[in-house]
Amino acid sequence: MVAEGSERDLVQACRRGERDAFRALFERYRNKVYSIALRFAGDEAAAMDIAQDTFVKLFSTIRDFRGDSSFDTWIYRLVVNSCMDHRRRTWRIMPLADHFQQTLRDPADSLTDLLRTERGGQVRAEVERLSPDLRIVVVLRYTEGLSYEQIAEALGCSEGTVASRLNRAHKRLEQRLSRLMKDYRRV
Amino acid sequence: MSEWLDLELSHHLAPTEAPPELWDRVCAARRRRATPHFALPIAAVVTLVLAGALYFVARGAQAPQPYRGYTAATHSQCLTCHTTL
Repeated sequence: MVAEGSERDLVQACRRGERDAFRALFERYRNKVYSIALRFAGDEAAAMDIAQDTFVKLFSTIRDFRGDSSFDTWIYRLVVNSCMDHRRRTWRIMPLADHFQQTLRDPADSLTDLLRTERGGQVRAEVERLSPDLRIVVVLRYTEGLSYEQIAEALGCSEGTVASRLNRAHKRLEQRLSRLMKDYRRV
Repeated sequence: MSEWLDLELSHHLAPTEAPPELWDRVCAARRRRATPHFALPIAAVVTLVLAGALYFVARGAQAPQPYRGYTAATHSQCLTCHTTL
């Protein structure tokens, strides 16, 4: 039974086309993939699309996995690519809707203050406002707890680039969430 | 980086559980992808063959042109125009 086997056995079984192995691999990674997709895209429907796309790609290209990098890294690359592809597609289709959503998320708007009283919602909304390059670094760091090295491998860039992007993201988030910081100090 | 931001991000971007229907969606998408890639070319060829057959049938159904006999004078006129004779 492959479901209890090691990761290498699972991958081998998937290469042979064993359905049980696909299911076991899916169960092992579904929460990771979905969490990254959800934190990146910001809504459940888009996260489902991204996660579905990632697993379809994973199962159709698993024969190409040579084991040069770890399987985790390979999966992270697939999710990152799916996130970016989804971003490109939706940007082409609905730039106006996107702009409208951005306007709604503006913390300076008093209506938005009423709508977004939830603190977690504010933090997530500000993360969603970051550019995709910065956002994916933040998501991999805080949702998956990856090290700079692991993020660099997943994104195919240097650790220095990861550090610089994370630094820029932190600065922007600090500026935009300064009101939360005041609350934090009060508590 | 500020401690409060680190805490906020760790807390609010925490991993979450995937909905159970994700597996069904993945299976359905794989089935759609597994549809033979040659289905489209075959459909195109069948359409072309049908269009060709219809064209020839329609062409064959046209009434034949009546025979027009040429007189010797007309014939010589044709020769003058179309040749150097």
